[in-house]
Amino acid sequence: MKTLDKAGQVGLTITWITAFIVIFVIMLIFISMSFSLIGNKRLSGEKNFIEISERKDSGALDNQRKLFFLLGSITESKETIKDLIFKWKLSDDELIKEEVEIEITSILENLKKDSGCYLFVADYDVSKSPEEYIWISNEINKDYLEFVGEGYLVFEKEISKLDLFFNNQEINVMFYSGKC
Amino acid sequence: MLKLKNKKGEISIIVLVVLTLMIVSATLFTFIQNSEGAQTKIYNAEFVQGFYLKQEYAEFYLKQAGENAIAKAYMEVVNSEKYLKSPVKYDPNKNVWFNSLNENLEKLFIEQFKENFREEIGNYDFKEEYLKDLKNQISEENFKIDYSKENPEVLRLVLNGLELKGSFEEMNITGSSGIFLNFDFRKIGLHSFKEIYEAKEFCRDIVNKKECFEIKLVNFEADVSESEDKNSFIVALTSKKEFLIEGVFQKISLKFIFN
Repeated sequence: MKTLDKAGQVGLTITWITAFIVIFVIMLIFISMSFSLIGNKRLSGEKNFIEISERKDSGALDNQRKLFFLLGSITESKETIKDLIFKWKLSDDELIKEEVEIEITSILENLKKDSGCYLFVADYDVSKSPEEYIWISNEINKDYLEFVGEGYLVFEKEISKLDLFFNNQEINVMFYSGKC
Repeated sequence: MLKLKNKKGEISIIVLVVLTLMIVSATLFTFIQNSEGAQTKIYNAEFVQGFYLKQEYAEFYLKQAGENAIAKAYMEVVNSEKYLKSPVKYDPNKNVWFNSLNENLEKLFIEQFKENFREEIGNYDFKEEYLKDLKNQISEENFKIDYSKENPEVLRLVLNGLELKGSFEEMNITGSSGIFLNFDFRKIGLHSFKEIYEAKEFCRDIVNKKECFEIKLVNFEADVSESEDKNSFIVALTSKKEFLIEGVFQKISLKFIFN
């Protein structure tokens, strides 16, 4: 009976050792997989970091605000640029057009500061009547606009567009100021 | 007997191993699931840019329409002489006497403004949906306009509930915007009727009345002359700025007599 018990204990011990090895391997797999998953979520150290855009302005919004500022600026004749544009279109007077060009150039020269270029276009339909509209630019890079055919323009998305309404008519305005 | 003992031992060990395997598998499954959710992009403020772009466009058009509506309402009130207290009296040369302001002037001016404002915005041929929505809100008079309590030279417009939609990469942003605009008579190039009345009262006893009016009312050019009976003064005030009213740029003028 004792011999039989000893033989049973040996068998049981062998089974436990096997089970221990199996559980140990499972644990090793568990630990290694856990570490690999934690590694993806670590925010400290050199591998993971948050990148902030180097661009100092906010693109289209910044341009749009400059355009609103420009249109509301008071000229030497105590009128806003916007009203001068309306006057020019109402009278078709070349002298008013010249005044608008001089005033806008002066404001934009102050806006561009250290570096950059600017673009200002205004007319009833800037894509169709290139000879007539107010066209002011300062070394604008070709990446920002594309000439397709004779006088037709395609603008990059950061260029601000605005329709000015008066007397049931509208004037298209396009504007860009910044790096080229 | 021996075989039975061994079988009992094996079953408990197998159950232990299987349970361990199940717990470990379930835990790892949860970890994998959570690690997917933790990979989130962090955006800078650029993602709300489209939203602000639209709000500022809406403000620009409201400001333009509001300023035009004020200039038109101002001219209408001047031409109809509704700024004066009834009954209105004239001298033999048809100059109107300016003694007191109409008690209901503020209410009257605001009503005139609202009508002009709706008409002005109604003429804007917007193509974008959110601006068409803005136009509808104005035509349905879903806005408030009143004189500022702090500054009687300022009209304050409040428009709530303009729905704006913006997008950035794969994100869509929808929000309801509140627009608050101040229309300052002085910044537009005018002065409120109350300020004109106060200037008239102040300049009554001043010797150089023209200079007095032009100092008190900087947006106007003044012309002051004595009446024929030498007991009163005729004042002509003309705005320095021209306003686009009914398709024509014109100055706003008002003329009155006082003593």
